[in-house]
Order: sequence, then C-alpha cells, then structure tokens
Amino acid sequence: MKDKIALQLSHVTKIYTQWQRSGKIKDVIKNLFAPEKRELVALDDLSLTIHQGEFVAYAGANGAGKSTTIKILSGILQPSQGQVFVLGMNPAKQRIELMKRIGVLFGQRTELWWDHPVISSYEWKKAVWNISDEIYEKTLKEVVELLDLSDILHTFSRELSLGQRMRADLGMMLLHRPELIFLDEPTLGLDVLGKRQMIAFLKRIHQENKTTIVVTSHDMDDLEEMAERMILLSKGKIAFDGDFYKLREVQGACSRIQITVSGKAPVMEDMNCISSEKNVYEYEFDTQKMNMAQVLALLSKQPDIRDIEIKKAPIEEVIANLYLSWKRESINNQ
Amino acid sequence: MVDNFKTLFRLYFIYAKMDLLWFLRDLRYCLLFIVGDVVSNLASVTGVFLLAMRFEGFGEMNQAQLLFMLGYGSLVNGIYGLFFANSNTGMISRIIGRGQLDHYMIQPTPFWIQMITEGVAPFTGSGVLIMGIALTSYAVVKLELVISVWWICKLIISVICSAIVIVSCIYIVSYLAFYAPSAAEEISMVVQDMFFSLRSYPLGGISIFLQSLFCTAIPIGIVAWFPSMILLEKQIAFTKINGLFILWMVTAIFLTTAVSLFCKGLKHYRKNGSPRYSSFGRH
Amino acid sequence: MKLKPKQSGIFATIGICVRQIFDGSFLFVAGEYMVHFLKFFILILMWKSLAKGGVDLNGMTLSQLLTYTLMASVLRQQLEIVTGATASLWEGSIVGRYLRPMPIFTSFITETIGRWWIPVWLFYSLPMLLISPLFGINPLPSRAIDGLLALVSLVLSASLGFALDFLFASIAIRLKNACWAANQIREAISALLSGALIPFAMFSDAVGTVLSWLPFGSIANAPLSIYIGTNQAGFLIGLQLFWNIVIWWISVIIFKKSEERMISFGG
Repeated sequence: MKDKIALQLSHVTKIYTQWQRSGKIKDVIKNLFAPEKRELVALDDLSLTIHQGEFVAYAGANGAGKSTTIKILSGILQPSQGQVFVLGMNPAKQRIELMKRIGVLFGQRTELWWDHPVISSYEWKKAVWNISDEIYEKTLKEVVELLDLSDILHTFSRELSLGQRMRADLGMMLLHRPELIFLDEPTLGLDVLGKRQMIAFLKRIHQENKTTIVVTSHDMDDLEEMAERMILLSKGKIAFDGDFYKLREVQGACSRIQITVSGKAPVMEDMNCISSEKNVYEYEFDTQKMNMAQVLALLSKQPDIRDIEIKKAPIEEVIANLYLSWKRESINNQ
Repeated sequence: MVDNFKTLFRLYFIYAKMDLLWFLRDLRYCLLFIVGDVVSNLASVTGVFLLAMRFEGFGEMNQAQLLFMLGYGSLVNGIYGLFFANSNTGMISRIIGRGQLDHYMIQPTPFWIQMITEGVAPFTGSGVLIMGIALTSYAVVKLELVISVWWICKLIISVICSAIVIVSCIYIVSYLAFYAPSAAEEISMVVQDMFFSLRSYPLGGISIFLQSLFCTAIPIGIVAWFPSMILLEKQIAFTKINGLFILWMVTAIFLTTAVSLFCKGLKHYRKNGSPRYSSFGRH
Repeated sequence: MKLKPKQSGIFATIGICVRQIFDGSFLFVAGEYMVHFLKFFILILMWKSLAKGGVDLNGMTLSQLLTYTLMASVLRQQLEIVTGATASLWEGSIVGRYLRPMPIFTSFITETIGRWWIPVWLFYSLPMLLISPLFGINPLPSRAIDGLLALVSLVLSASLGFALDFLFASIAIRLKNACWAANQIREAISALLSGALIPFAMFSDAVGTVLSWLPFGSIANAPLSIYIGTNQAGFLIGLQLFWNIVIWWISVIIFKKSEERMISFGG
C-alpha cells in the first residue's frame, strides 16, 4: 500500500502579490489610483512525495507555506509553477472528481450549517457528495461512535463548544470515506481533553482504514504523537523531512537528565546545567558524544543522589532552536 | 449533463428541505425575516404609489398601470428572494470578499450548480413573491386585462428574465471583489439596492435616449418598467423592435457577461487566493 | 497647538477610518457613489417629467424641488445615520470599543465620521455641489438665513440620527439572529418616512403633515425644507429639539440596560 503515491508536488512555486500601504495620507491618495504591490514567495521550488497510508506532519513557522500547500493540494489555489498530482489527478483540472475522494478540514473554519443541528449538515453532505444510503448509514454509525457524537447530533451547530464543533466537523469530513485527508491546524484552540480525543481518533482511522493523512499544526508534541513522518518547511522550502528521532539528531541529539540530591550540587562533567531549583538539577548532554554507560558512570560518582530521571529533549524546544537557527541564517544572509 | 441536472434537482431538494426545517425550528425568527422582506418591499413601492395617488398617475402611466408595474417589480424581487435569499448567494461579493469561496471549492459539484441552488428559500424567502402576486392580480383586475395562457407565459418569462438581469448585474459588479476583497465586499448590496430602490419609477416621461440607456447599459428599466409596458401592450417610444425580443437579448448579454467575468475572477482567485477570511454570514 | 490626549484619540480614530476606506483602488469605492448618483438622477428626471405635465407641486416650485433632492443626496450620510453599533454587536467586536479610553458613543460617532462622512463629502458631495448647475439645479439656499438655520437643523438631525441608531442597536441585541431583519425594516421605513427620498410636500396634505410630525420626519424633511425656504424654520427646529430630548433620553436608558448583554454577547 505504501508503495503507491498519494500525492506529489514537483518543483512547485507559489508567488503571491501583496498591496503595500504606508499609512501616510499622501500615499493613501496615491493608492486610490495606483496601489503599490510586492511579490511574496510562499513556496519555492518545492518537491515532495507522500505515499498512500502515510501519516505526515507538515510543520513550519508562521508564513512558511503550510496552508498554501494544503490549498494547492486541495485545488483551492493553483501553483505559479510546477506540477501537482493528488491521487493521480490534477487538482486544478479535476477538482470535482478529486473532491469525491479527499477530505479537507481547516481548523479555524467550519463546514457545518450554523443554524441547523449537526445531523442536518450531515444530510446536506450526503446530498452534495451523492453518498449512497448504505455507505452513509454505515459511516455515520462509525463516526458517531468513534467521535462520541450521539449527544450533539441534534444540537444546533451555533451552540457547540469549539471541541464539539471540531469533532462534528471531523465526523462530517469522513462521511464520504475519503482516501486522503488534509487537516490544517485541527487542534488549534482545543483544550487538553479535546486534543487527546482528536489525536486518538486520527490515529485510529489511520491504523484501521489506512487513510493517508497530512496534518499541519504548531503544536509539535501533538504532531509527534500522531505522525510517523515530519516535513518541516522554512520560507517555502523543505528544511527537514524524516522521522522525529532523526529530527532530534539534526539538532544535536541532546537528551536531558534530572537529578534530585540531598546535599551538594552534583558535578557532571561535559554536561550543561540548564536549570536548578532547590535540590533538583537538570542537565543536558549530547548522546553522540556521551553514551549511556558514561552517563551512568558519572552518576555513580555522585554521593548524594536521591532520584534520577532521563528524558528526551522536548520536541517543542528542538523545533524552536531550529526556527531560531533559520532566522539567524536568514539575517546573516541578508 | 444528465448528471449535472440530477445534482441540480438533488440539491434543490435538500436546500428546500433545510429551509423548511429552519422555518419550523426557528419560526419566530423566520416570521420576522419574512415580515422584514415584505415591509421593506412595501416601503419601496409606497413612495411611488403615494405619488401616483396624489397626481393620479405619472410617467405616462395611470394609477392602475403604475400599480401593475409595482406588482411586477415585487414579483421580480420575490423570484430573486426565492432563489437567492439564503447563504449570501445573491450577495456574491460578500462570499468572494470574505474568502468564503474556499468552502465551495471543496465541494464535488460545479460552481454554477452551487450558486443557483444554495440560496433557494421556498419557505422563508417567498413573502415578497406572495405580495407581488397579490399586487399584480389586484392591478390586473383593476385594469380589466384579458388574460390568456400566452399572456401568463409572457409574464412568467419576463419576470424570470428581469430576475436574471438583476443577478447578472450583481455578479458583474461583484467581480471587483476578486481584486479588492475588502473594499468591494459589500458592492453586491449597492447593486441590489440600486435595482430595488429605482425599479419603482416609470420611465415614460423621460427622453428616448435615457429610456434606451436605462433599458440596456444601466438596466434599471428592465426590472419593472419595460416588461410592464410589454405586458400592458403600451407603445415603447425608443424602439419598434418586439419588446420581448429586446428583453431576451438584454438578459442573454448580461448573463453571458456575468458568467465570463465570474469565471475570469475565479481564475484570479485560484491564482492569488484570498488575502482575508471571515466566516461572518457563512451558512 | 498641541492636542489633548482625548482629542488626539478622536482624530486618530477618524484618520484611521478614512484611510481604511480609501486604502484600495478608488474604483471600488466609486461604485457606491455611482449608484447614489443614479438615484439622484432618476429622481430629478421624475420631478422634471411631473412638472412638464403642469401638476401642482403643493406650492413648491420645480427649482425648490430639485434643490431639495440635490441636498438630500449631498447630505445623505448626515440624513441616514447608520453607525457600526449594530454590526459590531453582531460580530462581537463591541468589546474592543469598551477597551478604548473614550466613551462608547464617541467611539461610534468618530468611526462614522471617518468611515462615511469625510470620504463621501470629499468624493461625492463636493463634486455634486459643483456640477449641480449643469443639471439646472441651484445648490444655494433660498436665503442666507435659511442656510444658517438649515445648518443648525442639520446638526440636530444628525444628533437625532445617532440617538435612533444607538436605540436600535440596544434593541437589536435582544433580537439576536433576527437583528438583520429588523435592520432591513428600519432602513426601508426610515428612507420613506424621513423625507430624504420624496419630499413630504409631494404627498397629499394629510399624509405629509402626519409624516412631518414623526421623529423620522425631523431627520431629513426638517433641514431640507428649511434650506429651500418652504416651511417655518422655528417650528421645525423646535420639533427637532423635542425629538432629540425624547429619543436621546430613551436611547441612553435602553443602551445602559443592554450594555451587559452586549458585552457578554460580544465576548
């Protein structure tokens, strides 16, 4: 299954035009007749292949080009250059056919009908997508059970909380059993429980139905929990493509050790002390320079240890350091 | 093509059903919306009607003929309301300007089907149509017109043509929203307001040049005065060509222009996207 | 001269609203102006056609009627006041206005001046006044004193317009979803009953008299009638003062009562 290509972008470039406004009165008059424009490169010669059955996290700082990619893949936007194929189709030319086979969900937008109960929106979807009675009934039963929708199925969409709305939207997106789904920031604004439910559900449909999923988010912990593959975008280009383990290695492969002592502060050579509070000290070490045996040997020399905890560097920090290094690079290049 | 028509009727059915369900669930609000439409239409015809009463007709029309024209205008407004009252499909600049076309692009149906079906409101949007039928019928009785099947066909065709001209003009001007989404977000409203506030004036007393201008390039006269003149079999000063033919030609030209401009705008939208998004007024 | 913080806040709000309207291409703003021009043009065609038929215009001359219609079009923003109050309630953006260091009414009034009054005055009203002689219309008041009194009446008319708008916004918050239907009714009725579209003198005596006594009649009919010199200025200004006191009083009370609901709805 994973040998088949789900989507492919070949040398895709997307350039937007932005109107410039200085806010000065004299420029306002000028803008009335000839507004000043500038070009903005959102995607820069991007090439990417995702196979069927993959669960891909698509991340990047604000303005990196994540939403633009999702919009190009779902046929909402056309690339300025390059070729796009999704499930073997050109989204710009075969929009209607493609939409029958994919699902798109933008976290900040809803497809639900505001002044109708959720079930009316589902019936609307059935009519527009021309879903057969059999598939509709079967899928509806599944999503109601999996997403725990029974309580909100007959509630007006306008009365749902954000978490409930997201669940209802997700359920609606799945009614036509899409082979490939694009989720743009699906966890944005959700509380901890809402996020847990969303992640568990996505993992389940990926495992059980082998659905290909491409998800964007700023929450790296969520992405790490969901996806197998991470694509990091920086200024419209792919800056990283691999799994999360490899991503940690790229950033120096640092691990952390938290030591609780009863007396003096421990002396940990070749490690950086990154925090200390009362008797708890946290150190960072490079796993490529220091193996676990060396770490344990070092620990055995400490007399007052009461407790130790070894952990990976938080993915949020790894990514933040990456973004920071790209930002510095960009400033240096200027 | 057959598939498209199947989709068209399937969607008309689901939107009509949703409109009925909305009507039954939110009865109080829906009734207020219907009253709002009717009062608004009533206010737009009252001014001219009062003038007609005061001066015993004007613009080369007597009181009853003016009443017929006001009824015809209401019928057109009613048809517009029936098919485009919901979801802002009759206010397309709002959909474009708020970046909401994205929602339409992820539906597996052609745009034209989405645009002509999503706004249909047979239950909540029919108040003005009923008022129009009542006004027109009353005027027909007062005028003692001899009604034939052909006359009724002419009336129905003319009303549909007039409504198409209004929608086409709204789409033509709303094309600007593809290029200036914020500035032109409400431009549909301006065009709609132009038709609904100016349609009630009879153009009989003005120059032939202005009459022809208002029945072609700026088609205010096409939505009530000109077709009323045809249906009342009154002589139209600016042309000797069959009035119905002119009406069809004007409708065809405006419709073609609207479709081609909308397609061009859509191309621009796909190339540039929308720099803004607001869910306001969506569904 | 250095402005006090309060004044500079007002001017900054007006300034940013003006820029917001004109920060695109002029073509898009011009569309709305074209429609208003068309409305004006068709109305003057109607009046000329009526006058040609030799009908009695209730003592009004054609010249006065045309000046009335011109000034109704030129001053349309002051005679049909719709602030952002109702829309901001609906969108939930009213909360932001409560966070500004200025009274809520001042906030909406300054936004209205910046967003509608100044642009319309510069790009519609002024050109219309300048080109009006080309349509055979005299833009000047019948007498200088009528012009001055019409100005006083216009201030009262705008004040009454703001009061009615705030009153409507306070009621609209209770209507929730139906607020747009109510707004539609309000716009349609006020256009007819204010006298901005058709002068009351053109209706029959009884209808005209009843309409002029209503608060809507004090909005457009009063200043425009004073401007063309057809009515008693003292009586009309007195009536405007009366309606201002009554409507502002009711408006402030209901607005205060609705404030909590407005903020919680917005938040």
